[in-house]
Amino acid sequence: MIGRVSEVVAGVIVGRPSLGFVIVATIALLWLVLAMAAYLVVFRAYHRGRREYRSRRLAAYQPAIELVLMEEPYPAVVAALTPRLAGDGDCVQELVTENMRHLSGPPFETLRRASVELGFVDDNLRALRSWDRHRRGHAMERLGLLRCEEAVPGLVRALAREDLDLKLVAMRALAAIGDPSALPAIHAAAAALPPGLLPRLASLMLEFGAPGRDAVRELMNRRAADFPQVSIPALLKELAQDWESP
Amino acid sequence: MSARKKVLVFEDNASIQTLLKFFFQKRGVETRIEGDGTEAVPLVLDYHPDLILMDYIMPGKDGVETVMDLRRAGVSTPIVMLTSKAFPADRARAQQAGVTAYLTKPFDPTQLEAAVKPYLAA
Amino acid sequence: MSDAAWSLYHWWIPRANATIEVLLVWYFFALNACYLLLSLLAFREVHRHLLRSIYGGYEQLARSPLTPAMSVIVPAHNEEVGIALTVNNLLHLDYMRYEVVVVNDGSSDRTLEELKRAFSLVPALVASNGGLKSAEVRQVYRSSRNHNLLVVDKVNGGKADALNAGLNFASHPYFCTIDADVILEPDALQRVVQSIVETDKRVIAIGGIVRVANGCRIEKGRVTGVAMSRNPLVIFQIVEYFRAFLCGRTGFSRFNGLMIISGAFGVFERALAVEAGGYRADTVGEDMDLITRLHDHMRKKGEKDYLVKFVPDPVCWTEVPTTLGVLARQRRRWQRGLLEVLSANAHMFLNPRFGAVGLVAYPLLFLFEGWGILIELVGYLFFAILLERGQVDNDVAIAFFFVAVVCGWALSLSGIVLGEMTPKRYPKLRQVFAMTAFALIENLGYRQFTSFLRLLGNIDYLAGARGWGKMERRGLLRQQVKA
Repeated sequence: MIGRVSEVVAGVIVGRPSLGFVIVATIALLWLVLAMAAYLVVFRAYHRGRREYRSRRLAAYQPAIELVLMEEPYPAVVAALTPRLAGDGDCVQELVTENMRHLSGPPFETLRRASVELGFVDDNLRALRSWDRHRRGHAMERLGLLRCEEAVPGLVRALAREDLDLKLVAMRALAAIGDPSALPAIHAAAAALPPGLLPRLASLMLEFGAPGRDAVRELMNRRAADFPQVSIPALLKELAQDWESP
Repeated sequence: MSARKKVLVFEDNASIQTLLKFFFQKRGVETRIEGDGTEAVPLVLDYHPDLILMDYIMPGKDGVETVMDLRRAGVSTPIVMLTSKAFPADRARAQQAGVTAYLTKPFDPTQLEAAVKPYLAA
Repeated sequence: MSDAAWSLYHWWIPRANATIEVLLVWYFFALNACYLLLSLLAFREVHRHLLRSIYGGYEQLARSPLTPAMSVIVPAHNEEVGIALTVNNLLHLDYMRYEVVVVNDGSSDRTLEELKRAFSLVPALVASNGGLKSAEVRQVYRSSRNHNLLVVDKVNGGKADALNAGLNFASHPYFCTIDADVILEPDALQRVVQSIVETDKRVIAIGGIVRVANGCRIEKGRVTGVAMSRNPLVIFQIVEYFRAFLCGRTGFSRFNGLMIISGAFGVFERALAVEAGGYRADTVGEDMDLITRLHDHMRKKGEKDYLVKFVPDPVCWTEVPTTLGVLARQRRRWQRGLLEVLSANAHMFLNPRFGAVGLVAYPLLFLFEGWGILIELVGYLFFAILLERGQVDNDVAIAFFFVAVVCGWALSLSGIVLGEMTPKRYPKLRQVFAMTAFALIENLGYRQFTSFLRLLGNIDYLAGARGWGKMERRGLLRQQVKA
């Protein structure tokens, strides 16, 4: 049947070139769409499989969190968190960072110590230089959640060289870590940022507390005209905190 | 020998539910976790907890609304409110509604312990 | 048959055959090819958005005091069945600082009573920000239980009028319009605000994907399970919505040529909307009208550095018509709205001062959506007649088949593919296959039917029809949506 159709189509092309062009173009577009569809089916199947595998592995390490909260001795926690299979390292990191999101105080410190000891921090620092954009982004995010100060120089370098999307991820990570030494670098990055993103930058700077507020004040003085009107009242209100009664 | 203390937790985030569950388990306190505040009043009247932990933002019924409902129904159990950030204005609203104590997340077990100990003392 | 028809049938059509055939084939080709190109642009955009949204960052955004607050404006008319549940859900969105302004547009049923009962409303002395003209406001109420709910009771004036009244009492820098019978996703505002705040240019308006709620599992007024209805009419519309939102709108937003977001959901800068005059009360396409006027306003001010964006994330769920009658009314109204807006903004046509909107979007909408259906219908009729007479040229028949059916199918497929890349996708593979099959079948009747309805809409417009007609309210939220 395909033979017959191609015969007819060939006939059209010879007889009436313009119509022939139209048909060929249509077929090309259809193949493009079918290719997109195939990509999608494969993409979905792969990700579903991956997701299911990961949730099974994650479940295997969940008892470690219980140990942390039950204030069990540190060696037991580390033993429970040590990755057992290849590829588990990433899952354990996810589990640890997800829980560190919601914790502070002793359990947070335990998990942090464990992350350093298990080499997660080093892994992520190395991944900051990976050729894969995704790995870099995830590494930045994780370093932010782990709140490790050793990562600040690496993140600052990433801030200078990455594109816009990853710049924002790096800034968020630096804001989560909260080390004020990063503020000059963030300020420098602001010079390259389009005006529309300045309020976002300011919002992240405010996370640093008082030094952040100083940095925002400086930024506003330097680039007063660039800040969008809509954002100024809220910014001023935040900055006024330093002048409230002690 | 006093009976085990009971705590009723209203919190919708799964990770935090797990953390709270383990926290109270370690201290030998019976916990019940609910993700939704709509059925709060009958639940409390039925379960008789010694302490209630309430999340500020929940789907269905707002934390503060739930507290107001409970107080109006005559429940005098101490209520500790968990919230992501302490907005001064909202804290006032919570206290007006009848919240006993106020805690911010991420949750630090030592702080949480200090906050709940007085209400769970035998 | 009358003389004229006879001569048309037997004499003119066969003579004009050759030219008309080629023109028709080229028209369909141009139509589908343009949209397919848009969908290629859209593919890149959806892919990028997907990758970017993996990093989340919503928590910091949600906590930050600099994240703009929003006013959610809900115009309601005779919504007693579901209004309490809708508003309750709106009061529990995943967003830190926002207010809900419900505008009771002179309902003749118990809408206001329901609101009073559910939220303990008390009369409040709230001054209007003024600015926009609207029908008389009788009373403004606050809720004694929820500090961020405001209810504006006014005399009936239509949806646009109600929105203007809501704008007069809204107090935050951005506002979100949402229909009262639509289910808003809890994280919709978060996703939208991320696109506003993390964009380098100023975003003056932004929309998201509207999904079909029919057949989904709905609990307590929230969509908890994505499922597909078995009603063929609904599945046709699902394919249409994916095509319209993912190929059309996402594609247009790539080059800031977006003229329509959606009637069901839209977020705008409040001050700018008021400056541009708010909503026009005398058109049924008030959403499209506002956006086009915003473009107009900005360009007239000389500002070109702005964006009207589209976020390829599902933001709300709506109930689509399940019967032909209601569908017919809806499509005729939409077409009328489109033509009203096009005629009100005719000065944009091919005007470089209006950038992509004037040079690309307006002409495309005018030609393919507005008046091109005449050509479409003539095409279908023409071929039907020729087929009947047995006078169809083989080449042309095949060409026509390819451009009309195959090309149309390709376009719908790309919509489905893009749809499956967005969150809350249809989970089962057989649902995807069903959509694919229906995308093919729609070219054999459904598409022609909707084109015919749009033609009726054109006729309505030319005849000067006005108003919204009878609306059906079945209470999407109180009862299970009719699948």
